[in-house]
Amino acid sequence: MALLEIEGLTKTYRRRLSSTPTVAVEDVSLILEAGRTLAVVGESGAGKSTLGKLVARLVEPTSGAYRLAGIDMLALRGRRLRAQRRRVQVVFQDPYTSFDPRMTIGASLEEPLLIHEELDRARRRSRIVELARRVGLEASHLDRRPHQLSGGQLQRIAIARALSVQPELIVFDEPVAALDVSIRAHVLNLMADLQAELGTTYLFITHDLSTVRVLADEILVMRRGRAIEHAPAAQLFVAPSEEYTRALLDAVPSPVPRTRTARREGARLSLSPGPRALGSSSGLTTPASLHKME
Amino acid sequence: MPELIETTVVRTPIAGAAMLSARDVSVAFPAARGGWIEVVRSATFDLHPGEILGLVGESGSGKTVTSLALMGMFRAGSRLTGGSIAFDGRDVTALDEKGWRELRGNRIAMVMQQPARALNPAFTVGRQIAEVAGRHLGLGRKQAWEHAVATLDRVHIPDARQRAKEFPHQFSGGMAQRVLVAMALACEPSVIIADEPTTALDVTVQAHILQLLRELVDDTGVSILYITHDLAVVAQLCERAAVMYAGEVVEVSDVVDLFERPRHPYTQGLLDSIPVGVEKGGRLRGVPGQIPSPGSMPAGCRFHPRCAHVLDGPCTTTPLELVTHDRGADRCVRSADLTLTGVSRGTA
Repeated sequence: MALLEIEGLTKTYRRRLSSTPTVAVEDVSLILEAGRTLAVVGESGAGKSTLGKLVARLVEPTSGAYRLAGIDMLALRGRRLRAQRRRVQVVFQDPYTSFDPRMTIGASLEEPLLIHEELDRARRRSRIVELARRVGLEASHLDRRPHQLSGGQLQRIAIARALSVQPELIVFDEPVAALDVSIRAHVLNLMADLQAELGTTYLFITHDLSTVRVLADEILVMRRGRAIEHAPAAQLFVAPSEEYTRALLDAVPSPVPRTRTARREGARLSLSPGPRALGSSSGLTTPASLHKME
Repeated sequence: MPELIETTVVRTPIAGAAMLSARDVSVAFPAARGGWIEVVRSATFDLHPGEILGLVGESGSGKTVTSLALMGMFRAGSRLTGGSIAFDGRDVTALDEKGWRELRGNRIAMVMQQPARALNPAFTVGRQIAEVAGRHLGLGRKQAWEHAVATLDRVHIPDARQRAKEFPHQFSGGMAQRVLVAMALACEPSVIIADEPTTALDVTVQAHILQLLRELVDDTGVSILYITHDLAVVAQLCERAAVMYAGEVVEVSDVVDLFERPRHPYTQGLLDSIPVGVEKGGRLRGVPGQIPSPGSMPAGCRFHPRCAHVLDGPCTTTPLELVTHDRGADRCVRSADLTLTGVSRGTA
């Protein structure tokens, strides 16, 4: 069954001194089945995060339709919207800025339960301890404050907090970009384990194509606010249909070292044109084609 | 707080070939409650003429502090507590601030991570580059301006003469990073230290900056110390790499060797952490545990609590030194008897 249905979703921002509005997300449509992971990829400014915020109902769309499990999310207001907010949770990039530095980890984990669930104190406590365990932390971590945990530990807590109210959809906005390389794998594995166990649907926003492959069932490529390609992950990585997607894939550096000669020749010859260069303005390709751009 | 350990300065004869040499460089910061915390311990590596050396490490590994020390820069009251630095065959460890200032800009230049922050928003980019050229090359106003335009052209900024008159905010992130590279090049330095110059950029823009750096090295013979946490960038760009962990250099090697036959378990852990080619349903491998914080370093090998190959005793008691072997150097007592798997050339 389709969990997430979006049709012609658009968000424009009005600029103060200009008559032309800025289009952040333009006419995006998609359907996502329950229990699957959709990765939203693109360069900065492509509208990925705005799409995530629209889905989480953190910003109002300018136009379009959005249904979650058949419920028209855009028709909701006030108390009824607040009751539905439980169903979509968000995990942000930097865990240190998404926790109140003065609250203990336990208090931060408890807050969503206070808002969305009616549990007595003892039941809340046992839920929090269970959640912390589930993401690989101990009950003793709950008495600490954010700065006393590492980035990886705190991001696990952010995931636990998102899970605490049993959402159907979690929006992950660059969940591992701020983490150290050796820690990223653990967080990505944890995300995969939780999804396998709980069947939660993921919207995984990232600029880094190398981190999505292990999680994504399907991939949506965005460029300048528009969805330009939506395909199963396995297909998109092997045979993208858009030239822009190909350029985006090619730009990801390979971890296999090149020999000195190949490195030298690669610098001269084999780099494909940058995606931005394909359309217009910024971005550079080879010295020869430089003067046509920007 | 642990007391500062004064390391004995071992003045290894400096190889004539190196452009920039670090020998047992240690740097300490004043601790909040008195005493000193050693943040970099005994860092040793060489940067050869015309090569790009990757200095790889995670946050807190000491890579930035090490690179600043190599330019005679010590932030927040930190100081060099041991070791020596040589530039172009000359020992510069004891240089005074005036001496360092001469070296920086003239012979050693730097490219920072966030171009928008490194440029002065109130002046045109041309003027900022011309100022460098005027000061270090002794050029007159007009000549310095022409030099700035030529340098911007050199880093492939289209319509350089016009763009020189523009302000930093009129440049995209990638273009602003080119401006910073131009500024670094303005005095034709022998060494450029680039600290995560593409981390803040889109992957597509990153590819072009890497291409530019490679081209500059091949055309001018400048040496680049490229600081990064991204091993894939190292694979594509560098000839050799030094891997840092918890304030120590743990392995120095040719890049092909480093990736195909890592000698330090931490290097292997970093290679394992690259999530390439693992599809849905697969498992990623990482490095278990946490990075230790300065001031509470494990005894013995600093990586031992996270290492799968730890031996009680040899790995857990006395601090290890960097040992050179025929292909490089490493800081692991078991490197000779372990066979660690790297990335094979077929995988990506």
